[in-house]
Amino acid sequence: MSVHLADDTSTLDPTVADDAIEFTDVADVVERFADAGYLADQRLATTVFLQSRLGKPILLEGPAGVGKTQLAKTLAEVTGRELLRLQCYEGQDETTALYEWDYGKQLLYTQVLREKIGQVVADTSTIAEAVERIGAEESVFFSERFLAPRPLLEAVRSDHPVVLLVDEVDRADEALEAVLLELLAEYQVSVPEIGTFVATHQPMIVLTSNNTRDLSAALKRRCLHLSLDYPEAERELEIIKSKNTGLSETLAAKLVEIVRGLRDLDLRKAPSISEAIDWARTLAVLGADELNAEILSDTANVVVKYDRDLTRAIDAIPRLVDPNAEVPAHLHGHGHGHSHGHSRDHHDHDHGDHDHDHGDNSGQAKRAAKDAPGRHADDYYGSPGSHNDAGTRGGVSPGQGSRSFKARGTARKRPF
Amino acid sequence: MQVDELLKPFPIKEFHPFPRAMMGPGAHEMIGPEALKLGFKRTLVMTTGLRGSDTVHKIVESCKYHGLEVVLFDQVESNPKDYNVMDAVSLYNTEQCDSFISIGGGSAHDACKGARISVAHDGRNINEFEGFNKSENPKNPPHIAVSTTAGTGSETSWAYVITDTTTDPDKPHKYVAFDDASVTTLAIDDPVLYYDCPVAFTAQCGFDVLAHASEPYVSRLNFPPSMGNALHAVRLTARHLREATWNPTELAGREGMMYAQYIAAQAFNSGGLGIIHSISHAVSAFYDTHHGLNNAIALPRVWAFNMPVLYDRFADLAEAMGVDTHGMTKVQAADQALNAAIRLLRDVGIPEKFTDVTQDSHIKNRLGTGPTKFYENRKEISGAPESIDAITNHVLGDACTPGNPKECTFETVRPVVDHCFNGDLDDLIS
Repeated sequence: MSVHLADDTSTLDPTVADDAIEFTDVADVVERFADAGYLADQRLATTVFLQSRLGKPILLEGPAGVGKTQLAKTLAEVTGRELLRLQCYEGQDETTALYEWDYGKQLLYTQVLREKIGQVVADTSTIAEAVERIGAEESVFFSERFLAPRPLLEAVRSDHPVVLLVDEVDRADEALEAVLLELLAEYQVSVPEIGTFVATHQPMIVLTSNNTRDLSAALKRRCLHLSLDYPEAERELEIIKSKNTGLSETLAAKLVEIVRGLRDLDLRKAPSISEAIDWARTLAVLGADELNAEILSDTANVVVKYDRDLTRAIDAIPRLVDPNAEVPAHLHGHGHGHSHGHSRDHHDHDHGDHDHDHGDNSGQAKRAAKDAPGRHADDYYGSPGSHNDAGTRGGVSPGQGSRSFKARGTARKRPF
Repeated sequence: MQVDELLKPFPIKEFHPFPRAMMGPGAHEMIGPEALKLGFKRTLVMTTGLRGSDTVHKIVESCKYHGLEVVLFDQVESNPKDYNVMDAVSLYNTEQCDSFISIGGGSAHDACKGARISVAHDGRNINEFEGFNKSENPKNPPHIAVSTTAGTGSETSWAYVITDTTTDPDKPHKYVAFDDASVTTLAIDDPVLYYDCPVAFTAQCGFDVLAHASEPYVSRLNFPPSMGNALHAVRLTARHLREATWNPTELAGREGMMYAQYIAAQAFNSGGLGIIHSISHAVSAFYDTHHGLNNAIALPRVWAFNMPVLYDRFADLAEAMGVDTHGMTKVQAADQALNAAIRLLRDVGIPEKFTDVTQDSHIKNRLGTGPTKFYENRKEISGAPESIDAITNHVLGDACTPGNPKECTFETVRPVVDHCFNGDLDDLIS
């Protein structure tokens, strides 16, 4: 532990290896992570390797449950470092992230030292003089003894190498981001009353974000940035297999397909890898020997956690299990299986016998369902039931409806 | 029975937004300038063609004069079909338009609203959006709706009605879609545009207004914000419909009906509807008859059907219809409301039951070009028991039915539908 004054300019040479175990190359990263049960792909392994060499923090962004936090834990495990974790939340301030003055302890000491303080000021005659006298001593109370370190300061002061995980940094507000900046850039923390703490062992820092808001450019600039997304099918299957869920490989492969199908639906919360693993375990416990729509629908609540999502998932599962199940094709443009051009005359609709793209009776069945009494109960005229979609009407891809205003960008300028 | 079960019917009501509107004689002159203000450059004009009048021609020319590029789609049928909507969508995309103007009655506006929704969802079939707020993308092209009939109210409502002819071609289904995203950007209500509206048409559209106004007043969703609108629209209709029908080119009656139709739409926009509309949609689906005509025929029967539940409300309607209810009991006054409605129907010369609707009137689809293929292939109106059953089933599934003040089951509704086809209005007069 070394304390430098604020004007001290000595910094760490980031290339100096700590006594933690270094990675030799990217393949080494993949291998050691795999031994620890974490299947890293090339991109991720490269980023981790670069971090160890360049000494820059990693910023991981991506949906929940793709293994961001797990990465930090594994990194600590394979490098033999201690893991320090800062879980961010809304409204967090630096006192819970950096350090706090231990007020209770300070008060206790002043009580115990009352006599001593009395002696110090005994020979003063005016209050101003007494205050002056005590002021000369106040640095005692603002020293490391009374400092309650929080994870960030802990990481800097630690006398052995650590991995610092700053989890869900997007939940905290910009103020905390500003606090982080100094640490990320210089591996140091300034405490105005004492001075600046500079890390003796450079911590490996991993920040994770769920993209609930954009992080500041300053923060991103200081980090190696990596977007983690749901893995490719093969890799996801590998991950599930590596977790020994007890589900046979063929079923696991099928399950991965179904989970990926669910992610394509417009859900509020798509199933994550960890939830897929849970699902595999659930099915294994239930002793499923085939994945039919019934057992999947019964256990779908393991991977989808919202009512609305659950109904959508249960609707979709039969189709995902058996793509040949009767589903009306999603027709673009002309949804009405007639072929007619845009001649400006009548359409030739002879309503009797024209063949439809979809199955023979599906249209009739759909149509018959529309005569059912009470079928609008849930969302009638915006009754409370209809608001489970409130705020999520944005299940819209960025490009959707781009043609609404297509001509605007390309409109010719009028000459006058 | 649980208390919350008892409180269940719609404890929380929603008030739905309405677009800016420009109203009054001469308002249609503002279409061009307003379109420019909204940033229109190349606009798709959707209309039924209104052949026999030069309304569309004049408006299109005026838009061009103001510097808009106009693409015209005049193939919308009465009771707009899903294929009308999808044709318009593909024309919009191939012509690279950026906005819509609809000129006409409810058919043009509804088809246009549907086309906007479909465009905003990359051309998905419009039938997928049936129901309540089914669209996911609230951003769709801007839309100016210009009304030429005093009836629809579609230019200011959040509902549009489309006939699904493709899910089951043998059983077309006319459905309502309610969608806040379908509300127009600007409504233009100009009584001068009504002058060319044919007599029979004016009368029938006027009854659409009466249905729009009276249904929210008694519906399960009725609540104070829509009541004043409902009553005043009834008052204006009772006062002006006869003049508007028989003196088509006099401003007073036309203007009265213009305001009546607008505020009636405001009333049902948040106050809900009932089975006048459900029956009306069903009959249109089967026989492609005019929506206003269906409403006119269904209205007295449904009033009589609902009256026992809400005599005092119908007494208010009687007063609004111009009956002097002084000294009457609520029941007597309610009866007088029904009498006044039947009197109005006969005064403006509307057929009294569906089996009387034989004449394929000139108001049928697309003025002046004769009936469309869909209309020619429709079933004959027979009033046979099996057709009554089918219509009753359509009524039970309709999105307007839950708002009806009286519980609707097959057994209770079937006699009402049957009476619309085979019964005599004199049965209802007291």
